[in-house]
Amino acid sequence: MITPRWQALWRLLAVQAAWSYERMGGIGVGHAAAPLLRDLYRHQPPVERRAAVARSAEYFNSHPYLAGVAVGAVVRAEQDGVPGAVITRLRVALSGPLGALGDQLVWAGQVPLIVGVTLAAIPWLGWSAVLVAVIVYNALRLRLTMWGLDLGLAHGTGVGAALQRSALPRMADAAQRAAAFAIGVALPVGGGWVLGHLPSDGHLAVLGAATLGAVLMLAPATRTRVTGIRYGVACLGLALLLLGGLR
Amino acid sequence: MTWLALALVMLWGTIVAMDLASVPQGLLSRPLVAATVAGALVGEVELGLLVGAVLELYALDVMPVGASRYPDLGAASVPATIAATQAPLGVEIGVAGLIGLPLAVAGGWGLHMIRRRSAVAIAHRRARVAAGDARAIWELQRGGMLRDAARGLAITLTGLVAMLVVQRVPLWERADGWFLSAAVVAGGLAAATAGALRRSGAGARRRWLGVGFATGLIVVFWR
Amino acid sequence: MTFTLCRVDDRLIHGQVVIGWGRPLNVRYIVLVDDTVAASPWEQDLYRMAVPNGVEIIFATTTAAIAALPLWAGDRRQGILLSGDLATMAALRDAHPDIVRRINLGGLHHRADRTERLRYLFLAEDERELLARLDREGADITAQDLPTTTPVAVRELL
Repeated sequence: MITPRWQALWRLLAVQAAWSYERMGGIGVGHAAAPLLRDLYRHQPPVERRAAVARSAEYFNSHPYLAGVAVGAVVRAEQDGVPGAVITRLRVALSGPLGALGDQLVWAGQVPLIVGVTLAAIPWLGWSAVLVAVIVYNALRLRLTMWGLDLGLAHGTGVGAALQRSALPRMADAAQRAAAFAIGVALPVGGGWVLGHLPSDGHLAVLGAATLGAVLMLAPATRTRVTGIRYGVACLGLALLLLGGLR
Repeated sequence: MTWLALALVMLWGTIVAMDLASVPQGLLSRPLVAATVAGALVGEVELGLLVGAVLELYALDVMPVGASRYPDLGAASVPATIAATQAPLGVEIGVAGLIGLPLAVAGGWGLHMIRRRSAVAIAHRRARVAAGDARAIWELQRGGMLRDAARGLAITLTGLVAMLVVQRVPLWERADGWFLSAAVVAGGLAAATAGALRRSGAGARRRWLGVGFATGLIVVFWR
Repeated sequence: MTFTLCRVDDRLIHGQVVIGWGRPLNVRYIVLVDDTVAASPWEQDLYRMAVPNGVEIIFATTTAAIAALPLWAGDRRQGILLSGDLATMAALRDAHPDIVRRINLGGLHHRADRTERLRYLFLAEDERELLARLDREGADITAQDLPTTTPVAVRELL
């Protein structure tokens, strides 16, 4: 028998499926909270459950992997009989901080860390480095989602203080430093491995063009117009022109 | 390419596109993973790995923070890899970039459109959601996933059609066709470097980046 | 000295602020002006947790912020002045036009009385009038969610 908690975890994997600019991740959070709320209100009249489900699907935005913290906290707050208006404020107040923390921990930490290590390991491990990366990443991710849901369920409106006491903010910091190191290694090692697939007389020109591009992407005057992809497409265009001209 | 391989590539492209922002968000939409698996599906895992590594350099500059708009390099790298397997020796990365980079922008735009469409779907069910109808919420989730799946399929198909068109251009039969590959690598290295510097900010992280870079250089020369 | 960024964003502290802007601008302190948050310790706990190590966060009511703005703006570190709504930022600007010279509209989201101007910017009628007034008075107002996206001048939004 699948427990409501497992159902919620499963649904948290798709928490952004109905993401929109107005309600952002609210619908996904409502979907994930529904099994827990159904269980919570199984002996009460359906009107109360419906009110709770409706509240749980209002505006919400955070990092997808930490949305479970909000789901858990909101369900626990409903269980504790916290007034609806306070629950709505709790959701809104959790949005930004959970987003900021998750962005630091995952998008700026875990992802570049694992991608950087993988890129740096390719010259030795080949494609199996990619396989290991996917397994490790998803194990960490499922653990985080589960931990977040349980933390919310345990603490309700006190989840902010619980998060602050937890290791997560420190882990976010450590993950970002480790990511910076890993990307630092990956640039010469992984970049060098890629470069090694080009004829060696072209290496200097490629490095020159790469330096110019990086400067344009960072300089205040050009950084909003020059993105990585635009620069790459511009380089491609130039190469096509050169090829056409050399005919 | 066999029909079975083609079907698998389509399925994989769809899964990769959905991974970015719908389900399961489990690293599959990184070009490194998407392209390596795409290569493996057509028996060219090594080439897939190479294309993946190059397009991953571009992805390292993209931060999907908050509600910002970003290109979808993962889904684009699936047909880009298939195109690379059909390209002559030395031009593979160039062809992958030619297909993959514009397609990534289109894929990001597609995601933006889906999010707008989701807003319309939510508006249609506003009363039911406000009444706490869990069925309506599930319909919205399902609709979002189906639209994203359609987006993935469209990206993959578009990329494969573009491949057929690009194959008719005679430029890469030439000895200096590797120019194209060099251009794509240069853009990738630029993006990864700028992304790393931007993300690290100043202070401790910047120092760690520097230490990592020095370590990497030592590894490269020692090797 | 003045703030590196004066931002209006109803999500207050989130990824775009601490990573998107905070990193490239090397931000060291954030002044969050919001009357509700300034009176709510548990919300302050949440925002404090969300700010990276090495970044100071100051919570203030609008009144307190008006009094202390010159002091904060004199800080030699890079700082962000952040409010959750336009009225607060306008009040700060009215009191200190020399400090709040440029205003960044980073995110005002859907509400029943607002209409969409950009995907991250929904404005109500009174907010449009407020922006028009600030614009007439010479404030440099642009909408831009991240430093890498193209800024949109306020006149295109009114």
